[in-house]
Amino acid sequence: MSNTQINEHARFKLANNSVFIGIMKGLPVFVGYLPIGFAYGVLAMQAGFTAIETVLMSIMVYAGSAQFIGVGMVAAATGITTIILTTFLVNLRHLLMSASLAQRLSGKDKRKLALFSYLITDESFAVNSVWLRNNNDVAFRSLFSVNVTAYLGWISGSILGALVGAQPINVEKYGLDYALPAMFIILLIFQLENRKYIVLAIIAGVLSTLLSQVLSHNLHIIITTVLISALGVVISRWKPAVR
Amino acid sequence: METSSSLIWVIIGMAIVTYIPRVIPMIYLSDKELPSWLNEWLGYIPVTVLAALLFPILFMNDQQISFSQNPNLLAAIPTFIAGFLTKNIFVTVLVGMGSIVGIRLFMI
Repeated sequence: MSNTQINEHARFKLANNSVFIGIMKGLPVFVGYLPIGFAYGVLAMQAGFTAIETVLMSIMVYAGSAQFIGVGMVAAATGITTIILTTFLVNLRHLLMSASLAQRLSGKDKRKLALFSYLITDESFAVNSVWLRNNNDVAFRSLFSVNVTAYLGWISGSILGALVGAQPINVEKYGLDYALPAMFIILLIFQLENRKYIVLAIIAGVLSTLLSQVLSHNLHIIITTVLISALGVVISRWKPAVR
Repeated sequence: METSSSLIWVIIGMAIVTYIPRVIPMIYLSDKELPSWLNEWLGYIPVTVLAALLFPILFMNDQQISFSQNPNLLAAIPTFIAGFLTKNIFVTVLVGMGSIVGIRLFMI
């Protein structure tokens, strides 16, 4: 067998490996999480966290926006009850994501699902949702690999941030703070299946922006998601042709 | 500034209240038959939650809604085009970060 044949063979085996496919799907999120995790790590160190505390929060909490808010509140000497309650509200949206994924993962081992759900984020949820919608028989192992890959990206970014965080660094100067909205933009594009989804996205976006003026703790996100998803159901009952 | 031992409790507390909403629907709904409207509703969550997360970031500038002189909104235009054309997360994030840096340079 020539060298190229061996390579072809190896590549074929790899491509068929469900873990490998999942890692490839998760890799862009891994890369996208590096600058955001880095920015978090820097801010945590500036707030007086030790490197271990900085990384430990990423490992245990693993929720970007809540970690930024949590670090800010610790720096402002906010009480522990307020911090924890705020975190709960900010992350309550995962309830909707978990429910949305659960229906497509019926019959899976509950212990594995419990572990899987620990790694649900806005981004891994978005990637896995599109994947499940386009392909009904994605292996659970592949979805899990997406989650673990993204998780490792977040932890790696946090470690890098913790390593350089002792020196003052301006995250805005390098555009690190825009990695998150940019990731939301591309993930939203992935969701826009047809005109109805585009309309729902615009209405949800406008409503969420308006509600953010009067609500705090990410409640505008939860209320918008609940209402505009319901609007989607109403529209398709009203006009069954538009699905 | 809190002492370090209480910071550990902050982290543990945050971890617990973050995990609860992530795990409960997964465990309780994964083997339930849901009515078709509820299933459909769950299917719209990815698009609505992402739009709800994204738009306030783009349209808010200095605590208020802003359509002009808003770097986040301006940078979204090339970022959106890059995303639409490439359908690639990595390229889109790079274009977004490059755009915001450029726009801030010109908008001092």
